[in-house]
Amino acid sequence: MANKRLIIDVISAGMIRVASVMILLVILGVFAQIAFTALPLFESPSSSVDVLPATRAGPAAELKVTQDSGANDAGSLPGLIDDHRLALSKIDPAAVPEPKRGSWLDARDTTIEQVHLKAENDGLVPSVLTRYFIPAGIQAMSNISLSRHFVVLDRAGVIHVYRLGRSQARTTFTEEFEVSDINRVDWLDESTFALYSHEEQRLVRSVKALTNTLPLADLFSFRQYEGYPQPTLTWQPRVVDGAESKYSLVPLLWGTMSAALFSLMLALPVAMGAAIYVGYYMPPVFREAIKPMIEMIAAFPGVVIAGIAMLWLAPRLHHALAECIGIVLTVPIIVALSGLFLNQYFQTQPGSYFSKRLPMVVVLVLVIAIYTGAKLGESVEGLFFEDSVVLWFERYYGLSVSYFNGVLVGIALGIAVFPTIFSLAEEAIFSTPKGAATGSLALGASPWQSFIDGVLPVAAPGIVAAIMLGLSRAIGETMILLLLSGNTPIQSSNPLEGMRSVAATLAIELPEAGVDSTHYRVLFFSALALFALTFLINTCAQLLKRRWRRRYGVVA
Amino acid sequence: MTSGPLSDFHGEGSVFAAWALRRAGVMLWLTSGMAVSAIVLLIGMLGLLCWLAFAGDAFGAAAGHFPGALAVLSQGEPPYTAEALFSAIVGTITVTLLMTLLVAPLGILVAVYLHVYARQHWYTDLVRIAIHNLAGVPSIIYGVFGLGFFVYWVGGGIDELFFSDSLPRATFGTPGILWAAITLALLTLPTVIVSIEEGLLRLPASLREGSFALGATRFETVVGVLLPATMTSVVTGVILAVARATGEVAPLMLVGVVKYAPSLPVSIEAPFIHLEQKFMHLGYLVYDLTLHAPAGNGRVALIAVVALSLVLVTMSLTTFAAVLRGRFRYQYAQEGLL
Repeated sequence: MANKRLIIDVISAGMIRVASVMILLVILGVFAQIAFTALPLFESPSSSVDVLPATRAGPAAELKVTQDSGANDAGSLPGLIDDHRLALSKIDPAAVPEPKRGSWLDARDTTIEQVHLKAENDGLVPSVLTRYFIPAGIQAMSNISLSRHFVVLDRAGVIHVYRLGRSQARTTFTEEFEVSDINRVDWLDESTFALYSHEEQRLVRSVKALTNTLPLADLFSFRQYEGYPQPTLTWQPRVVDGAESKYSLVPLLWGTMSAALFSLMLALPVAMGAAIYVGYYMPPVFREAIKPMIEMIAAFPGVVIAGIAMLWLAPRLHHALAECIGIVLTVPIIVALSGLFLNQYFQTQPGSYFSKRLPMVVVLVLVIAIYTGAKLGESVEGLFFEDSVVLWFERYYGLSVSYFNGVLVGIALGIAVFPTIFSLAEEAIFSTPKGAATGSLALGASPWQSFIDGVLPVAAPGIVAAIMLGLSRAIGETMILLLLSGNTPIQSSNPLEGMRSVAATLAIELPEAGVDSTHYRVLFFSALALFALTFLINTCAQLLKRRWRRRYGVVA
Repeated sequence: MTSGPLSDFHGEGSVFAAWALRRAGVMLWLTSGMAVSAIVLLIGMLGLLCWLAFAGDAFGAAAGHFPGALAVLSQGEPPYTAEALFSAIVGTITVTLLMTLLVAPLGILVAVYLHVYARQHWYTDLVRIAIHNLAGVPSIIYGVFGLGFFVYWVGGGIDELFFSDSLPRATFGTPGILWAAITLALLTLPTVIVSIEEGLLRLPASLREGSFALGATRFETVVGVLLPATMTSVVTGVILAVARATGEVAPLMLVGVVKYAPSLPVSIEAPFIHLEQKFMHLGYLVYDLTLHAPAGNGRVALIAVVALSLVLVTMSLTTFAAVLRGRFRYQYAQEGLL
């Protein structure tokens, strides 16, 4: 009997160990999986080129095309300007026969050593964007694939795979070819190209090249794109008419950070004020009722906050911007002034008759302050801004204003991050050892002086941790940005324009990106960046909290 | 004025000190104003939702009250019908139930492992920090993981192994309710683990030691003593997980929620619960209605009703969890064990 019990114990212990370690591995493997999907993006294609057997022959029609174009009349080839220059014009699938997407060159001429990439800029004079030097001379060259790559086989038997618009080859790999044998290179699909022998009319070899790769710098630095006057940072992954996909993460990161900043600007003062009042001034009896109530704001899911903001706030924000600014500027001043006034004539120290009825008075003062602020904003707008602040700025400063803008996002996101910051900061303030405040009070300092000099230094790590966690919440929030930011990937510090965040981009674009395409991997990389960023912020916050806990021995 | 420490504050010479005292009042006012405005914000948002749902349309359109919302459902276009609302409710309940079924045992397993079985090393501490942090990782990241790992990798693998005859058309290799439930379970697992482990930590050591002293094995101690004693923390953790999961939309958009699902994920036909199906969700319905539904005619009221029900569910769950947690602490404080 005892034996059976022991066996059950040993077996269950083993099972629990194995199962939990597996679960933990899956949880912790989230990061690894995203990384493993994203990081092949930066792989150098040459290292993993997979040369397929020649059995995968191209269709007969393609071989026929080779023969047709084999006529050595170089001048008549589309895109060949003279002996030394080649123009790769903007791709127009309709203008070119089906197997050839874009212009190409069957180059046997030994004088050709360079490929000049030119872009037609909406009918303007083509300008040289990039030139490719092929010192050994061009033996054969492919057309441009859907993923904007082309292949050059030089006379030394080296295959170069270029990505359009780049100044030097990313991919150079050598194969032992009978060079004289091969005179045509063409794409079979997005990532496989074939080498054909003209004389024997056969496919010599097909090569799988990894074209779904990008250098890391492309995601973060200025890039020259076709048809753009100067290098830009642009996010435009899905483009029509075969134009170049533009993957710059900078606008997305900018959007994410600016939205987070706007939200913190609004949420931080309110959350900190509320945390100080509830954690420091308020009697603990009230605190137990008030704190969970304020934390209830966390029960509003992001999508609901976004829905309310979009349906109710957005149509009003344009007209009520002046009122809003008026309220934001006036309320603290009026509240502070009335505090000064009441303090002068009434006894407001903790425990007095007046302070027990403080909440009611505060509500009254707030209502008056909000009303005054709104009226003040309205009249200032009428007097100085020709009845509309928005239109005035638009007219005289050329400030562009969009319906979905940073202010709207800031308000909604601020509401979403408010409970996080409030709850943790309040916890930090409340659980500082009481001696810090009472000692200071007993020595004659005012309550606020005691707070600043006694409580705040002790609670500071916890408060910083709270702000960091709020920031990481703001960075990761998806639905609010998705509904309210307008999802325009522009980079602007104007709070009245829209933005596009990393999280919202993931939600919109990932379901439609082809598995393992460049787009898919770039999106996974942006998810990885988001993950790493929030994880880093959270870890710093955790470590701060742990240190703080250890030093003061408080359980929070 | 008499001399003494207080005279600094009241003496006429000390203008700054007097100002500092008044400043205390100002800051009291300012901070209390912030606290009150937070409560005003909460009540305001709830009131706004109720007003939009039951009183009037934000755009002043006709029939913008609750009956108007019902009218939208009875005569609306295909995605916005009463059946669709019903489907969304069923979808939300099904995915949440599936998630609960997954997350509760897994959470218990990992928490018990970390607390009872694992040796307390620096790396268990590291795992704990990581789990704490994972609770704060954006939910969309879990969606990305779910899509890449579960849908395309695991689902694609299942398709190749078991459904190869219908292959060009994916069965499990496409977003569906099973993947959504697993993703949500993964998303909420850290919350549950933290809650249960906290509960286990709060148990007095005498419970465990007493059980061992009576000759019980570790397994018997866990199943017979520790888990029943910490049942409230298990329930609290699961409730918090459910509260968080009902509000999450972003990860579901990647792993299985759709604008309109013609059939329910549960039925009376053979497998009863169709794990590979796509489903509708209340949170997504709010998003979709806000973004795509034709304006006017009670649309706002309908959105408000759905949003309000989501908020109320989350609120009552959170409150319930808080009450449970409070009682749990109280129970052991009463027995003088904590």
